[in-house]
Amino acid sequence: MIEFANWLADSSASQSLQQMYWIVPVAQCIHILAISTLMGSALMINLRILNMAGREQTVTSTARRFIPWIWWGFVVALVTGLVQIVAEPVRDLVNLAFWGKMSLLFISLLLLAFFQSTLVRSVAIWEETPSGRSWAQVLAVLSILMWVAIVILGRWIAYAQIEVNQ
Amino acid sequence: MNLPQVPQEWLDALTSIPTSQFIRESSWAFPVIESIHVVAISLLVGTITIVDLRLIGIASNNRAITQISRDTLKWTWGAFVIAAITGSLMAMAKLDTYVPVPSFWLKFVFMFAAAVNMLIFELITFRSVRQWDADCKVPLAAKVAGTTSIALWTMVVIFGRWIGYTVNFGSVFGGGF
Repeated sequence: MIEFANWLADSSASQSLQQMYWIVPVAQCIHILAISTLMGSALMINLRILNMAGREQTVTSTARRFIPWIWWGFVVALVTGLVQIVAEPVRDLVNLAFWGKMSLLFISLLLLAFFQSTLVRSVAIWEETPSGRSWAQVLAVLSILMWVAIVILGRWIAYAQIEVNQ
Repeated sequence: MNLPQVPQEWLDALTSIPTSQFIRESSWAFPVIESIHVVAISLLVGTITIVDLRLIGIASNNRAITQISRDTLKWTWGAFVIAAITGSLMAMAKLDTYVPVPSFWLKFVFMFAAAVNMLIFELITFRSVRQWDADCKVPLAAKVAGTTSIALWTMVVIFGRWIGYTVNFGSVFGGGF
């Protein structure tokens, strides 16, 4: 990975981003705002599954309200994240916190896609049987914990880099 | 820009208490506190935006404003308390480096403006909420409050992130920030 990161750092795309000293801070600001949108939306769906918010609404209608905002938040975070990777390849790619974040992100998005697909197939799958409900609640707690861990690991990229370089 | 002056004795007093020293000298304390700060801010901004979008009329329009507030605002306030505690700890530990940073003060200016916006909304506009809580056009004052809230919190996030760059501006591409 260090070879790839060095190759990317020497590429003309990375070189031109590196000359725009403002681009990484600007990308980070938008990245945090996109993550806030995603976090608020994911929290609301998970709280609904846990019966801690929006109980006068079905899980399905809560999901319909918030899932698009999760995906759009993710798209904006992805684009601004890619800008940061191209601008600072070694800082991000040679970094345990970064790969930990990516692994949890992958699992979280798989879980979201799975949740979304069950809603399309059978709108009431999480609401009709007791075992369906308790499974959904376990996954909801897990989902909240994973998103929180993703944010923590994201901030940790700035610190883990130093250890790798030493 | 004329930044507020903080007496040197105050800086010394705050940065020399054991908690501040520990946060400064520990290899993990500052990153841990900062990570919790970011989680809290993402939840604060994420949940308050849900209310703001309802006030503006962009999302959740099928639900009453008071229902959405009940679902979200306790999380907004909880996140605010955590962000305030973790923010104070970071500021206390390195106050002498933050005091000369414009973004540090601007973040508080925008937070104060967000608080004023919220108070105006709560104390004046919200009193008539029964008339426009659900299935009804939201008054212009409430839409303005929602839009202003999103704009101000966006500025708080931007200047909050910018503190790290003005502190360490010389090493933007190599530094830990």
